Amino acid sequence: MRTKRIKRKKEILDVDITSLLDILVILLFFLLQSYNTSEVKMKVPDKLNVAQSLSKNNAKKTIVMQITQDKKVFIDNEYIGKTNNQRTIINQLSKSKEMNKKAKGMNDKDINIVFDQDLPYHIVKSIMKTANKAGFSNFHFIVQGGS
Amino acid sequence: MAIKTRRKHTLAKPNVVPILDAVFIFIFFLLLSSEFLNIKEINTTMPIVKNSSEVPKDLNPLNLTILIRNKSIIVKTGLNLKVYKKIDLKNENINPIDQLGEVITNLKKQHPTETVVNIQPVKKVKFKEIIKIIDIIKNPSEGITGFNKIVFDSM
Repeated sequence: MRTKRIKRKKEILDVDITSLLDILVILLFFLLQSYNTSEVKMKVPDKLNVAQSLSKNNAKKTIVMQITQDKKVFIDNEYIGKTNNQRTIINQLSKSKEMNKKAKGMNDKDINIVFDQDLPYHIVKSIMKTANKAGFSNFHFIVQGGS
Repeated sequence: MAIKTRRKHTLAKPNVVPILDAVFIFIFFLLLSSEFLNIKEINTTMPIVKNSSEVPKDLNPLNLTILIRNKSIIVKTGLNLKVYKKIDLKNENINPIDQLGEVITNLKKQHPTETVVNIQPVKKVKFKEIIKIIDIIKNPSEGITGFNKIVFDSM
């Protein structure tokens, strides 16, 4: 027996992309809002929780020193040693300072310091003292804005 | 006689494909270049030692000094560092940060040209607590700019 073939009209498939567009627009807004306008680019090491602040000043590009909760010191994303290793820190800071001065003509008295939020003041003070011995006198504390 | 021709009404659909392409590229660019850490800074300096010839003639400077203790914040003023206000951090009835904001606002109204504040925390005060206090010192209340030059105690 012959089966009847039903002829269907050929329709062009029209994909509804409205929902996809909605998601993309939301994602775009989120990314635009969280876009970092600061000149400073840094890798945040483990055990470094950046303190929250209401500050609206954008950080400027210069040497970045990071001090983690376990007192590890990083200069321009490179591990240097522990906070009590003053001589090594001073040597590295002086080297970075000279390099930056030659290469980028930056203000040689400015330094960006990122402290872990739970570090006690005596560590903060000793780091500032060490940085001062290397010739820095303007300390820029790097914080997390928007709180 | 003119003959009227009927045209079929068709819905005009805008071609969103190029817009989508651009949006996709923009999203990828943002995803690759974005850091989800909103980096800001707080400027501080070391105390500056001046020669006696450079000392201003103001005989009654504010000389605002804030001592941060574990249990209290002490606000001192003047050359003889007289205690202006002691804020108890353990007092649950009053928010110490709001109280400090009021003190700073009053001082700023009395001395609008002053910008320097000396901060002297004790050894064990955590960095985040110092930052909270600096935030209040810089912006004590809405519309009022506080003391912008933060100087830490002598090295």
